Amino acid sequence: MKTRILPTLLLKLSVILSLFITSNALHATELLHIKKAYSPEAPPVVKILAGYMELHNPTSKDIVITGVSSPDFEHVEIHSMVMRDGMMHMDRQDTLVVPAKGQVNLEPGDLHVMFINKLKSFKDGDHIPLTIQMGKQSQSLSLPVRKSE
Amino acid sequence: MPTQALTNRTFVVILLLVSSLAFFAGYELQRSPKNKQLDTQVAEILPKPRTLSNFKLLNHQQQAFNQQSLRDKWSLAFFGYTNCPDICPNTMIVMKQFWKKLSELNIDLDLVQIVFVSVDPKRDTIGLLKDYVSYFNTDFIGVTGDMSEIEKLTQELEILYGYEEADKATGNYIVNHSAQILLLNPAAQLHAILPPPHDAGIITADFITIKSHYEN
Ligand SMILES: [Cu+2]
Repeated sequence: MKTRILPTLLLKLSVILSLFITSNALHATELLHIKKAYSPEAPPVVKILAGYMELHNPTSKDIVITGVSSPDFEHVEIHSMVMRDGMMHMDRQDTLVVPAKGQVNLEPGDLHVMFINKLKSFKDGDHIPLTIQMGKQSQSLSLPVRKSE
Repeated sequence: MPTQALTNRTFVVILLLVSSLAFFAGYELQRSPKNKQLDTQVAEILPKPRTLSNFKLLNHQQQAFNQQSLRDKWSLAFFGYTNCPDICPNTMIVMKQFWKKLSELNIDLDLVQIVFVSVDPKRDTIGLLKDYVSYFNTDFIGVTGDMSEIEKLTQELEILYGYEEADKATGNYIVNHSAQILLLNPAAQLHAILPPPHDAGIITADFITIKSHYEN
């Protein structure tokens, strides 16, 4: 009897362990190293906020960002900013490639996360949750809201 | 005759020397302070300041904002919209830093004004503009009004803007717009253009250069 229990137990353990690893791989993988993430505090009347950060790809494969989302906003997009015909244009980026061993910076006057129509208010010291989708994988972070001086 | 040839050659050399000297002297003369273009870092000074025709807008306190409002002080004007997430708030922060630098330099702030003109009057109501500008600095002025008046003023100032289609899900629309800061002199004329990207230190330096030259 005892000899039979041990393999069953081991099997159960390995199933639990593999489940744990899989769930980890699906939810908590940190594909990108994200640095200096923040969102500038905006006047309370403003419903649209910006997010900036450095995206570092330590892997040897390009990482393609396919979407961004936040529960605190109706909609979130990645935008580029370009001067065209004498005007600053914001262009939605449906995908954003972070090259292998490379880096992409989202910064003022350039690429940014655009948080559209806030569902709650944010002030200096608060955090904005953000999930970055990379195909089937995703990565979450929170951007501290900072007042610019 | 060899001597004659030598004299001729010497004459040519002297002529060349004299003419090149004259050329450089003339060049230097052109660069002399009187005629020289002001040495600014980024500001593009108009060869001749541009007088504006009158316009009728409102400031964030519901008072008339017109050509007269630009008189007797220097104005730094920026055109944008409150739902702009990047270029507008960043420019307002630069203006705030510029304002602080001016006060540190003991420049009379009563003789300078910061004006934010909305090119999205449909959404930017006076009440909203008031909250917006005073968040950055209670001295700043928010301006809005009838679309036709905004159109008239922006055309004369060569400020461009355009609306993108509203997003179906959120109803939000983007307004593309020029990003230069305009400097108007105390005679209410467009005096110089400060192109982006904006930096408070550079704007302060250029502003002081232009202002002191204007006053002399
Ligand atoms: Cu944007």
